[in-house]
Amino acid sequence: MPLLEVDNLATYFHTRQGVVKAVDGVSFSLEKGQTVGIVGESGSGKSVTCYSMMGLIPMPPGKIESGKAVFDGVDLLSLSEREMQSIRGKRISMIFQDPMTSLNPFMRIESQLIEPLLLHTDTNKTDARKKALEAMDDVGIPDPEKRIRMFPHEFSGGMRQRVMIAMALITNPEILIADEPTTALDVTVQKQILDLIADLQARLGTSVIFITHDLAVISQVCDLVNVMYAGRIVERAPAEELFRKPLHAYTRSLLKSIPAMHRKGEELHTIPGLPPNPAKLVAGCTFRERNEIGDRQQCFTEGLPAFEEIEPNHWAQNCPGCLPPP
Amino acid sequence: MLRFLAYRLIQSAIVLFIIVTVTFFLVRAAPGGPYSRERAVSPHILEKLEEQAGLNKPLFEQYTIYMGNLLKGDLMNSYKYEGRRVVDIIGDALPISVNLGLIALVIALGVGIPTGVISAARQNSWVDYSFMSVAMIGICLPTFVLGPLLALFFAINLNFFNASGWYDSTDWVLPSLTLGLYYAAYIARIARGGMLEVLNQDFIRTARAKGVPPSKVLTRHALRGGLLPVISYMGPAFAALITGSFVIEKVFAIPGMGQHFIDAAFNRDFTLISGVVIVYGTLIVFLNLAVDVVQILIDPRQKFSTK
Amino acid sequence: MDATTNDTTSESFDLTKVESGQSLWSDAWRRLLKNKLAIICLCLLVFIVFLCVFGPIFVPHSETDQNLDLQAAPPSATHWMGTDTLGRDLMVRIFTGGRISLAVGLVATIVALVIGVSYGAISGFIGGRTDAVMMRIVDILYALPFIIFVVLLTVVLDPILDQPWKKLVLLFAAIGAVEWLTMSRIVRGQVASLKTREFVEAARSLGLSNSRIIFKHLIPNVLGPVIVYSTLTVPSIMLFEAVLSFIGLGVQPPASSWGVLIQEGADNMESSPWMLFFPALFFSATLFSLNFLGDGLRDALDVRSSKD
Repeated sequence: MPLLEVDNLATYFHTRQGVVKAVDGVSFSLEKGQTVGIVGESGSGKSVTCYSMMGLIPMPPGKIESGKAVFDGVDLLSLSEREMQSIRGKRISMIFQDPMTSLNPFMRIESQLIEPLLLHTDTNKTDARKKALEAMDDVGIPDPEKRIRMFPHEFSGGMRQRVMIAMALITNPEILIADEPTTALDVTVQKQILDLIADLQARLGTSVIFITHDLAVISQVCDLVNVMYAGRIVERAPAEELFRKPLHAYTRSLLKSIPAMHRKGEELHTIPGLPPNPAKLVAGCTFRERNEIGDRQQCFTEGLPAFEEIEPNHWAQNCPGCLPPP
Repeated sequence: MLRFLAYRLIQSAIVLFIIVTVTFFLVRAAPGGPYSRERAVSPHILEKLEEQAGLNKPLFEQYTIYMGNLLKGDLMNSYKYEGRRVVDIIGDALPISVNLGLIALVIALGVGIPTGVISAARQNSWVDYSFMSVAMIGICLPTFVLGPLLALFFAINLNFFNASGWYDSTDWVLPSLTLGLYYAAYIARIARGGMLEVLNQDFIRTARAKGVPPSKVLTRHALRGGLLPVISYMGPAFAALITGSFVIEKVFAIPGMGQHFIDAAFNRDFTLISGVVIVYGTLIVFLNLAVDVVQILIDPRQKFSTK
Repeated sequence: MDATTNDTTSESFDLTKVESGQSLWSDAWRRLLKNKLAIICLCLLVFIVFLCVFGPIFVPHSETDQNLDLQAAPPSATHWMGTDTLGRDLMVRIFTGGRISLAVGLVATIVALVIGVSYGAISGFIGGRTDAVMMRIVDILYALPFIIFVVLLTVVLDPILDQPWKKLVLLFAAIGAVEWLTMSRIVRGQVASLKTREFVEAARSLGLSNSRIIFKHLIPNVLGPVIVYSTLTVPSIMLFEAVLSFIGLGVQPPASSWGVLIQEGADNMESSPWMLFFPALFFSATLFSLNFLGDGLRDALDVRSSKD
């Protein structure tokens, strides 16, 4: 049995402009020790998927319309806020995109680091401090004794993200949700943080859900990749398989738009148009209007294309216009 | 920090000096003097009186005499209340005004901050709407409307308090309530705005993701940053409290600084005017310095800089 | 938590922001129309202004008419809001007093606007040391109890100002000269952030003079916040005027303003509570609608609420 199994999750936002179907029928699972990636453009619903599981969706306007997220035999979506509190930060932790704003500027690093321990375990302050120093050492922050007394604004972006990671892992959680953890960082720092996450994961056996819009990042860290578009998963495959043989037109467009995968001088591919407004989704295949790689004439105009196993262990939305000709 | 304090103290001294000088020349620039309003005085006696008081000397000489005395801590004698030193007059009135102002401040903060914080925590709920509507009504019911209304109801109809005066220990209730509630309404709105801004920040999401319960998110993580706007409002608030006390002292016939100031201005009581302005100015300047220090102490991102 | 909603809707917001200036204003207008409270306040305000301006024409009494048989009479069929201690019709006095209160509010706001916008724009545009010094001065002025200087001014100049209208002019100027501080801060912030943007660079590269850039290019762009804070300045100025009139330093009898009327009402509230009630009602309703209208405009024009 997988550690976490998300089944048909749908989260809508009921705004004045109409119902925004941010997540619309997402299913995926996460095995123990595995790293699963969710990739997609901003607005595709990848963050909302995870926030929904964690009970961090502002309600209203948000509402979880359907679905289950079974973690260790318990459906997270059916838990009360109080029950969720004992899971958040203890068994499932999160790190976020912008380390500049994600740490509390008014609190010392120490009190932020030990807070999960004090909340979720019987640790006293002295022991918690000791653990915090160890954790800082583990994530590669030099001179923790001095640094722990500082405030976040005295840290660089990369160092802050290390603090975030230390804070998230200090309670030895079973799952770490990393929401674009490297997007706001310099390229050199990105690599260090990715290596750090991979290293800690190997040592602690944590399962990781890795959210990003950056395929290059996905290729470095993930075992299994889910490609999301307009609130739905359009393709799923092991990372290597996905890069070797992408099926869905959206995935193929994304891969073609990575600069590193191009020869010098070759024209870079861009996906035309913008991601669809989730408040005004068209019927049928949601990628139809931007589909330039496949044959848009053959895309579904009504009814959803089914998510099927096209090749062994390689799933995709079975839309004739989006899949490559056999 | 010491450098900062020294810098700001020098700056405050300069500001005070300018205030005193401007006041001195402004008052003396006006036609009429402290004795000219009494019609019975003949021109001859008037001249004598002014000579005694040193009012016939060149303006600049008067100014240097006054500043010299000021440096010795002497605010000279009142022209109107003969033989009384300005220091004594202020010594009688200031405690009353400070008492009134302090209680009003406690009420303003004690009512305003919880109201604003609760409104922000329950944004867009009926609690929020009703609190904020009451606050808006409070802002639109200025002290000189609220004061008489409270006096009419609690003092005259219910006979709980005296409608005016400052003799009994209960006499401060209505005036400080009037003054305090008005600013409580302001502070509630500012506190709500500040809290909402902080509650929408990423680090609050981090706290929730750590499993911090909502009440602790509010008190431990949001309160400090959320109340910063309230603290920076305290500077102007002190000045505003003085304005408010002018009105309150008139409504409830309280012998405080405000009444003295207005009377002195009408009477051309040069020394009393300057004395009151100096006291007000000093209070304001130092309270503002205190506000700035507190603000820097609360917000670790700010530094004691002398720029 | 906003981040999650933004994540899903940011595209649609971005689209509306690129559109031209014309639709920005019509957009704002549409948003304002949706805000029922703000519209109610706007109507109430228009109604009050209409009453004050044209009301006295329809009331069969004048503000100086004394009915000596009906001194301090409660509201009746002939005097809808009662009479004052001298037997004057209270309703017509409220209307004519309102003219003065509203006029002071409006004119002093314009004075504050002119000073605040120019000061803030210059400070923000020049930047650097000058900017720092100019804003430090504003900080210091912010903390001073200006009522003291206004009181001094009004008292000092009282004998010179033999005519009531001169006194009013002084009131306008004094209050306006005090209330420009917030405006200058807001404009300065806007200008400082705008001046680094491309269209200013473009204007500069065309060789336009600094003053031309400020007045032709920058000020039109800070109009939104300025409109909002002007709306919010009017009530605070009206309050200032009322305070002065209340402590006997503002508008002098026989002329009246709402502050004067409220003061007379407070003096007589035991025997004639309507003398306090009606002026206070008009005054508070005006402040109320101006404040809510300002709030509504702020939302509609999407002006940041931050004060610094």
